[in-house]
Amino acid sequence: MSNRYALVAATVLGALLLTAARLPLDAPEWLRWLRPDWALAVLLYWAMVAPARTATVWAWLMGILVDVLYGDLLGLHAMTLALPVFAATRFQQRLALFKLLQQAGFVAGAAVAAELGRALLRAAAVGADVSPFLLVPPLVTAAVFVLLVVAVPQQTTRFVE
Amino acid sequence: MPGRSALRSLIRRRQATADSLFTRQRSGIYRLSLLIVLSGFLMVVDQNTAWLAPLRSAVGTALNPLEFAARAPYLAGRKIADVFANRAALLNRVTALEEQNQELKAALLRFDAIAQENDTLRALFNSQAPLQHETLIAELIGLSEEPKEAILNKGSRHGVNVGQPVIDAAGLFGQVKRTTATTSRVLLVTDPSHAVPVYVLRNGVRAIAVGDGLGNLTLKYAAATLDVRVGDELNCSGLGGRFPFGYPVGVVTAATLDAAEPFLRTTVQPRAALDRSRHLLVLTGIPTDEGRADGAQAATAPQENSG
Repeated sequence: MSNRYALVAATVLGALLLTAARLPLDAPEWLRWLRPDWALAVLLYWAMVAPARTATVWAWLMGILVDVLYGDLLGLHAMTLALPVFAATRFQQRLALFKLLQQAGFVAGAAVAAELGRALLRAAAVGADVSPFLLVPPLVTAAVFVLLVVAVPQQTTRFVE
Repeated sequence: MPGRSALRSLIRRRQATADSLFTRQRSGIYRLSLLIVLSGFLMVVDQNTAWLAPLRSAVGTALNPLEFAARAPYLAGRKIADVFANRAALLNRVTALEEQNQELKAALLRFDAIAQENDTLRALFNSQAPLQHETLIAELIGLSEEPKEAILNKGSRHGVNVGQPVIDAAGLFGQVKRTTATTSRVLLVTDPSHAVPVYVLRNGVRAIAVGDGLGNLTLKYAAATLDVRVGDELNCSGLGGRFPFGYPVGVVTAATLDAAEPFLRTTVQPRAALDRSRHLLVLTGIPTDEGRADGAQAATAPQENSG
């Protein structure tokens, strides 16, 4: 069990590191549209593999850290991470029966919802415009999720009561 | 009847399962609602007040090692590139810099003389001596996309305070929006939430330049009769006390009068190279909202780090 906790800690830390990492100043513009929601991919993975009742709270706290790292409105990522993670823990039993591709579809859908929610809240708060490229990062997020399922060792999906 | 009691126990068990499921779900929903309300509250407070700044600064400072670790590969890559830099390219660069240095020195010779003359004239008129601005060199370590901000490698520990103006070699770059102990975020002049009082160098007409969010600025509420032409230089007017007088802000690239609109529509291209400058100057000597409170501490820090 402690092995699993170490894995959770390592992946969460990795996600935060990748969130903090910024593209070099001379990187091409299109590259930033490929940037996945690292935190969401990792949180959804663990919500599906090892659902815990406190998952939503952890997701919220991680969201606060992401908000500070991005310099975004405080609470924006917190809310948009807590909601999908809640949905994943709530429907964990159903999701566990899904094939990997279907699970990835769920992740992509959740990421689109989160991204759209953030864009709309930002638009309401600071008047930023909503870009249609918004739909690209969720696909990368789903790909990261698939990568996690394949790469993280010996995590069999289990049912909980 | 055994059949009946078995049925009853089955029903009871089902009931228990349903209950446990129901309560489990409900507690989760309550928790989620609480978190959502809390997020909404945080967002509203963060948007409208500065109360959360200490919390953000504290969490940001705690996350500094993480940011440093995330940046390390890139910095190392740049160091390695420096080591293996082409000798001829380096020599070329040194020559170019030397030439530029000569030109600047020559200009400065005149500047010194003029500044001295200006001081004497000011003294004759018995007016205040001009303020000298302390500056702190900072390096750009990142750009955040949403909101558009630049991240510098100097923070409150080095004397950077919220509200201080930031310039690059060509003009006004922005102002410090948030600080952690070792980093700070700079709001760019082109951000829609950024405004700077300016005057037209040609005729002294005053206006307020606001970012348009598209990489340019625009003059807000510029009357249709305002004497502004394409090519006019705009400098900081020093009104409002936040931006010191005289720093170049931008050049007017378009000024059109639409009969349907009450105001002149202008486009001002910023002088600062917002997308290219790597080394920036933070003007630390200017009293800011925070600076007035802990000015003594801020005043001692810059000298040891600016060199």
